[in-house]
Amino acid sequence: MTLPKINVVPLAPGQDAALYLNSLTDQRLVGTYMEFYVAALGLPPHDLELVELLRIRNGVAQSCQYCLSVRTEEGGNLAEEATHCVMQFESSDLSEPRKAALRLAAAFLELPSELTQEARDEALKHFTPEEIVGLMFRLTSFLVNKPRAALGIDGALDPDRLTRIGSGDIDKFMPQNRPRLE
Amino acid sequence: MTWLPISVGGQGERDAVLGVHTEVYARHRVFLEACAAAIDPDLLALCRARIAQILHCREELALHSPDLLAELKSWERSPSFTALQRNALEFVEQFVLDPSLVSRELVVDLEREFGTSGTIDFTTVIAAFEASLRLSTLLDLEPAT
Repeated sequence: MTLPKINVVPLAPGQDAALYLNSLTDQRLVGTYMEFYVAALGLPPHDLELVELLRIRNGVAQSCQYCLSVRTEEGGNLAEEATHCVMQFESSDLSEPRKAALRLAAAFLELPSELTQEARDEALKHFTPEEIVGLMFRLTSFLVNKPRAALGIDGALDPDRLTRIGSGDIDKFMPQNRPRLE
Repeated sequence: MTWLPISVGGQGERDAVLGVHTEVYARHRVFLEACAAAIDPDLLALCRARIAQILHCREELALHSPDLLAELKSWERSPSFTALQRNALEFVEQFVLDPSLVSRELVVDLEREFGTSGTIDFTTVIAAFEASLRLSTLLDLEPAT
């Protein structure tokens, strides 16, 4: 559990950090973001386990405890070890397409201008341009987790075990004209 | 020029590349427009320019004057920026590099200027534009002409 760096009530044990920060944010921003996020769910490639690996990789990059404490049901059955795997992917037994996608993700999250020609070529060997843009749009949508880490409104959903979340949970994040909590 | 083999035709490279997913591209633009409307436009422009410098985003860098970019490179020593702008720039730099290392003092400084809700919204807006600039940089999108 992290303590907020901002003047808000700290998270209660077991409270959902993402929902809490959403409730404190301008609902127009939340609403337009969620529309973008939901639209991006349908993008190719339709390898949902790969998308889950990218989501976890982003969680590591931002030190987002919330992101790392959950697994999406659509993303297969990735265990705790996936967090290590996305960082050490070059020496992992992941497939070459997944390694190529994780190379793009690593550059995106670190220094995107330093993506090598070799990494570009590998990506184009395994994915169509539409799939590459799709993967990068998905990563773009994941970066909205950064305010959680920056403001200290973060924390594992359950500190003792991974929590599975499904597509039905998305509705909870829709603003539905809720007023902002003050 | 982008490294993706996508035909640009008569449109700009951003529209051609990101527009391969029409609906998502449109939703992303609407989100960014909402973000842009949520904070002071001059402050946002300054923050976008600084993020572009950190990420080497040539599409965004082309939108800002060379004089501003030169001042921004050493903003800590420049007398051209207000206290609010300095606080924002310091926050943005740390946020882009590692948000978990943003200090409580940096957040308190922003909160003094923007209030609590304003600081949360500012942080969300910066995250949105940073992500967009990362997308542009990774795909090496050409500046608009």
